[in-house]
Amino acid sequence: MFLGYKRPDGKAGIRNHVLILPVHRMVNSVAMQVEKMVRGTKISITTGEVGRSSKDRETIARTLLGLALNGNVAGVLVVGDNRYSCKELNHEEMAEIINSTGKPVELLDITESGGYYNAITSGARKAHKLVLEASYYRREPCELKDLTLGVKCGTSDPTSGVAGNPVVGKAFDLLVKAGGTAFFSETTEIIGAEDKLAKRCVNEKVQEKLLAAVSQIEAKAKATGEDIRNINPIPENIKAGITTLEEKSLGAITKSGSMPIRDVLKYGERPPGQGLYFIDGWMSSLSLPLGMAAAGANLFMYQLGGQGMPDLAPPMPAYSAGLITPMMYLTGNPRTCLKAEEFVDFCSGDIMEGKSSIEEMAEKLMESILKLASGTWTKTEIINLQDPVEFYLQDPCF
Amino acid sequence: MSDKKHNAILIDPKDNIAVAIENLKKDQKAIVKGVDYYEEIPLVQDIPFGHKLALTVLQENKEIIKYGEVIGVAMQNIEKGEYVHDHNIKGIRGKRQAN
Repeated sequence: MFLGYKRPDGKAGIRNHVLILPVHRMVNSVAMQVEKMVRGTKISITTGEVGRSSKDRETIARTLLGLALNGNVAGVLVVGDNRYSCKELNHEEMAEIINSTGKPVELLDITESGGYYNAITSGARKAHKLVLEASYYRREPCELKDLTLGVKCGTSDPTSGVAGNPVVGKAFDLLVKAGGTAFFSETTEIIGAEDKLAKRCVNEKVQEKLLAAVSQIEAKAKATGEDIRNINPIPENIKAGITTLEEKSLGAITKSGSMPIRDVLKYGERPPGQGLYFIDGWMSSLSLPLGMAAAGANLFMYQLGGQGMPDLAPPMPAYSAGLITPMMYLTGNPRTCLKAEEFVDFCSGDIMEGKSSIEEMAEKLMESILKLASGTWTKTEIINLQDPVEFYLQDPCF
Repeated sequence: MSDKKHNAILIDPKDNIAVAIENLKKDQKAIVKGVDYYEEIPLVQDIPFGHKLALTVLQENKEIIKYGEVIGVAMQNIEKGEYVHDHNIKGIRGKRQAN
């Protein structure tokens, strides 16, 4: 059980943000001014829909809407302008969809507001109202079934597959068995382990989707003349003792636990129900937390190896890249735990030293997750820094 | 079974490599533990924390098994206790196609 915010659509939130959502790149500057003026707001800057394929614009739209509908968001200010609207990115439509879920939403149209400065004033007033409304919310008891978690592993080393990822996997099992929702992703990093995952898909259709996602990414890499083996494992992985992509993948998938895979989701796509899902996404430390937040993750878990990271206190790979979804850092490497103590929220390094079991650590991890879900801040959440918003766009731009 | 504290682990019974959980030095013994598995293997090279050592003789092109699955193949003959990494094994997947 945890203490969360219950939203009108039945979703639970572990944070209580007002989201400012510029739908077109051309309205970013107005939205950015509003965000600076009004406390309690977060902004999702659109990096640019212009010159993008329809499929990529759909990805942007899906991601923006997903962020707005995340339980961690109490209210949304949608910013746009009819002149910049396109088929895929329409601010009025987005506001309507958000409104239909019962979530408070305000719409700011730049032209109708009477120019740049008037639009900022008008937007600030609307955001002010939303933040005040958000502050009426109180935390209430929520069940595990109300919680959605996402995970990524990074700076992987051999502790990732032995101590770090399996603990997350066991915690995922506990969550999914209790009716909650869990996401894992990183399509390139299931290459070599896809047969093992395919066996866990709920039906043949999902199995085909999973295998197709893997063969597409492998074919895409080969088509560029690139040898994935020169890119992944990355140099830090190799330095730390991971030799091949297959080895990295097999260690990586242990973070998914052992529950059936209900479906394969597109980047930013919201799941049709509870359970464990694979997201066909990119491993990027910036893009993946954002995509999982859009899919509905309340908390994003970043499972570090870290053996290949610099000595002393190393900087983390990303800060608040989930925007409205806090990032929790964890590791199974005792050295990382010690070196990055300022940023790491949970350490399962005792497993490497033979002092604890995966099961014991998973129980402790769940306790730690529930504290964060109830309002305790993650260590990187305290750092007043927002990494750039990065969508997973795959097509060439013109 | 011995009481000696292990310094390397066998993750899956099918594996033919072990993972060092300490920085191991040459002329030292790797004390490898797994489920129903215990073996002391003399080392001829240093094995850093987290890196792999061969549990048996691995002939060239032999599949390398970790987590009970294939992670690559041997590029040359590898002796028991030898350091196993990118100098003597390679992955199979994601290889660039010859045009």
